[in-house]
Amino acid sequence: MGEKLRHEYSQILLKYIYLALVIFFILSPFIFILYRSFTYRTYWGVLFTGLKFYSEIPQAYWRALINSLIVALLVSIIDFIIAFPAAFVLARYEFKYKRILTAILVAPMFTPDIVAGVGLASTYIRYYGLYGTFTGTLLGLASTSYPMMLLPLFASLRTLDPIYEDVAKTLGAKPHQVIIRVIFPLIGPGIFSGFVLTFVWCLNNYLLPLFITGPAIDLLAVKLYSDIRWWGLLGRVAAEASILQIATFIIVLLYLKFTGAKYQGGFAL
Amino acid sequence: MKRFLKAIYVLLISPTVVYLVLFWLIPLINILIMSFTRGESFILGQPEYVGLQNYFTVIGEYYSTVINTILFPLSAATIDFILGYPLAYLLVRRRILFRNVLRASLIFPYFGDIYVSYGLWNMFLPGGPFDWFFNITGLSYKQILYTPYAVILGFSIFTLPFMVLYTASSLSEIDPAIEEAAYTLGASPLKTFFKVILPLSAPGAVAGFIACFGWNLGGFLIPLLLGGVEASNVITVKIVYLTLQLHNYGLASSLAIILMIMTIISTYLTLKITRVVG
Repeated sequence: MGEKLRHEYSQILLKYIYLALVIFFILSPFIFILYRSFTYRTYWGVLFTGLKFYSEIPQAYWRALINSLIVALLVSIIDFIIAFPAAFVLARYEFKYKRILTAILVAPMFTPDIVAGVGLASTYIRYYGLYGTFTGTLLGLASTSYPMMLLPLFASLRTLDPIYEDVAKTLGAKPHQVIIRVIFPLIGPGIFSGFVLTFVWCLNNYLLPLFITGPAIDLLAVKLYSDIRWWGLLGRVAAEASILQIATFIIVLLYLKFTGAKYQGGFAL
Repeated sequence: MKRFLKAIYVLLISPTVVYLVLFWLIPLINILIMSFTRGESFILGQPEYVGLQNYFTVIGEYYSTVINTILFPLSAATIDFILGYPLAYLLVRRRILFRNVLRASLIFPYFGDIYVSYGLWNMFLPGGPFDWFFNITGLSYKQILYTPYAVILGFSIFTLPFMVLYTASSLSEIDPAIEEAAYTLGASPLKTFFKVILPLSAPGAVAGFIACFGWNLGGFLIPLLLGGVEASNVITVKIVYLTLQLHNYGLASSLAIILMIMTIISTYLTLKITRVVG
């Protein structure tokens, strides 16, 4: 009996050691950025600098942060407007080429940002005249991020029993009332899930805006990208990166805590 | 009534399709057309068509770029499989404390290749946590940092989430009773794993492997920062260099088309294995 117990304990210990190693492997770059933002290395050793680097962050960075938050929020709303009708049709209606249509609708998510960026930039400059504009940035970002809204909406609409809509209709609700009063509250977690995913994704995307936004609008991730490329060794840049990555991590953590596995689209474990 | 309903559904889905055509399909078609033109002549309004010349340039001068673009993600996907499979198994089958923190840290890299590359780059520079390793072995940090090894390491951290997610979803479909049956019939844990669990979860693992490969094809900052001059020789970095610095959109487009074809193949295989497409 003692032998067996010891065997079980050693298994549990092994499990946690393995988990700790893998988590360390994944998180080490992120932790090291944080560490770097609080310390300064000299020839004699490492100096603890406290919040010095955080106070060195220039004003332009905070302006870019506000820009980015606005852009990410607007893009999430556009994504919702684009994705909701499509998700509704895909969940409610059976037709011949449904699987292929689903695959095509999800395909933009798998398009490399570089390819989308070059294509959008050339199309904007040549035909649409949207290069460097705010509208162009929003619509371009939405084009590769809306599948992240579509998938959780689709998952939650598919499991929603149509009987609720029928009851509401029978009781005399108009179509828009059915959608706003019945469907939206019932698929709330799915909507929340889609919003969080697209929001975080837009906040961290630097490659697409690099091609389509132009120099007129400062976005946080683009600024961070150019800072990393040209001033990568400064502690200030590590502090900038830390702020954005901590915000991202907290959003992801809250998202996992408050939405059930059903609504997490491809991210359910 | 049925026809009326059908009309409504078509009406509902058409804005999405129109948007998709305008902001996804037309840009892709533009890239295809651009890949047959010289320099930035297409963007300036007077396209000079040069036939397949850009593709010949790719074959002649950029073949090593294409090979690197395939090799780095493949190696990274292999590492992900070795690390991610046991992790997925633990997540599905065992009780774990701080499960949400683990899942958050697993999903996190997906949003931040910018942090993966910047963090790793800082770690390998002198003064980082690997100093003792370089001291003991007598290596210079440049023998790790600006080489393919660093790029592959960055890639494998970046896409580990996909491996775990796909494998875990296919592992969770296996009934634990099957495992127990194998134990009851006298199979050792190792034999159970190789004869029962691995074959049953193979579709998820393969899908994860291909997904890792496909996502890393588009990785840009990881090879740029960690690869230095030589190992950053992958398609994405070349495209950015060709477009933003040299304004040679024609050549960049032909590289983009090659990248897109590889992505389409890997995405199609992933979706096919996970049964999104018939």
